[in-house]
Amino acid sequence: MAGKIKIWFGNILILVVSLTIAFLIGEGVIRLLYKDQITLFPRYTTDAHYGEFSIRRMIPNLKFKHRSVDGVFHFKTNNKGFRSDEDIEYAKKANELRVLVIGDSHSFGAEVNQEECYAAVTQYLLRENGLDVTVINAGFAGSGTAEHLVFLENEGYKYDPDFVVLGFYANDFADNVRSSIFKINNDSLILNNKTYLPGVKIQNVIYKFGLVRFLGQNSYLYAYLYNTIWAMVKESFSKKGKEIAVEYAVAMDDDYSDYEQKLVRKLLERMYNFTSELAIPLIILDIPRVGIQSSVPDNLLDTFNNNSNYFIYSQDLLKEYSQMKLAHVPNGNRHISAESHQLLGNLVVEYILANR
Amino acid sequence: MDILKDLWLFMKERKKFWLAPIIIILLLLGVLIVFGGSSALAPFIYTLF
Repeated sequence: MAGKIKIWFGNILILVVSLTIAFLIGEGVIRLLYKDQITLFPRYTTDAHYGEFSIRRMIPNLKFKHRSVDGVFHFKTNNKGFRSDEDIEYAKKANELRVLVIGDSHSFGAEVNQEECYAAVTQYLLRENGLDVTVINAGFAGSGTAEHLVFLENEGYKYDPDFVVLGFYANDFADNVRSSIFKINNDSLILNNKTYLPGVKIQNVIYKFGLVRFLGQNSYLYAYLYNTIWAMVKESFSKKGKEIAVEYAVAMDDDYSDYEQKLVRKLLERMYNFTSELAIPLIILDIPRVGIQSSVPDNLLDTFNNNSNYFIYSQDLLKEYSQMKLAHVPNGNRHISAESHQLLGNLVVEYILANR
Repeated sequence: MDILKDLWLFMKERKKFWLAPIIIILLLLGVLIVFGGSSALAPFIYTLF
């Protein structure tokens, strides 16, 4: 009996060693062929329940990396899933100034380090000016203005912010339609859906396992396999006439439909009404697209100017952007670079110092 | 197919079945690379997870 168990364990060991060797060879082959083209950007979103709404946020208390040919970027989320080194409670200290940043992956800082994103730059520079300030970076990848509004109205305001900064990027037009949280009906903004949690169920299961988190951040073979299988699933659904909605890291076109534009207009009007009622200045950042094109079409400039206390328009900053080595990271998902974050942080700080 | 047959006979003859997982996984990877092409390399699409 003991001999059989010994053989059985021996076989299992051989199998594990064999699989490990196969995995290492596969990893080597994929790195050799595709390393420069694959990004290891795990999403790490989970569900959050704000009032009647269920939307996404980052998994709280997590340390992780994004890796691409452009480098390795370090992340840390706090107790609320915000990209911050400090835990943040609703109640603020006497004399504490709070700035709430909402936006998508650009505001989250998907391809810059923790201390380089504009929220962190803002906090650092304001502290350098002697202020007791906390900047809350509530941005997360794939979100649109609709989710930002839901967060602000149902959760963000509880942090008693003195300023709200909205990072607006061109793909928010499509994100708002896809989430379908709000719709336009008879020229009015209508609440359509209180839950938007794409991909969250499966993430909640797989990211409990440290091995999956490790592979997502470090293995090109893992990224290649799941991307390929995911692409095949999408193609198979597409052939059956069922399209799977995808979230793009960059805006795929600049031809926004009338409906998309109207939806953004109504969302911004509602956001500005909300912040105005609470007497919180709203700063909107026009996050530039690659080539320093504006995310805001010309016919919406009045909307952005009229529905914010300060609108930072990318086209007014062409000189500053042109002096940069890189306004966007050169590869990966082409998010704004650390230099662009620095510029945006500087401008936010200037406004806050002049208007606090 | 002959090469696969030869590999199987080799493993059977020499009792080197530990090679099977390596061969199977590398074959599957090869198939994915050939038929999956560059579909996994669209960096601007976020995966859902």
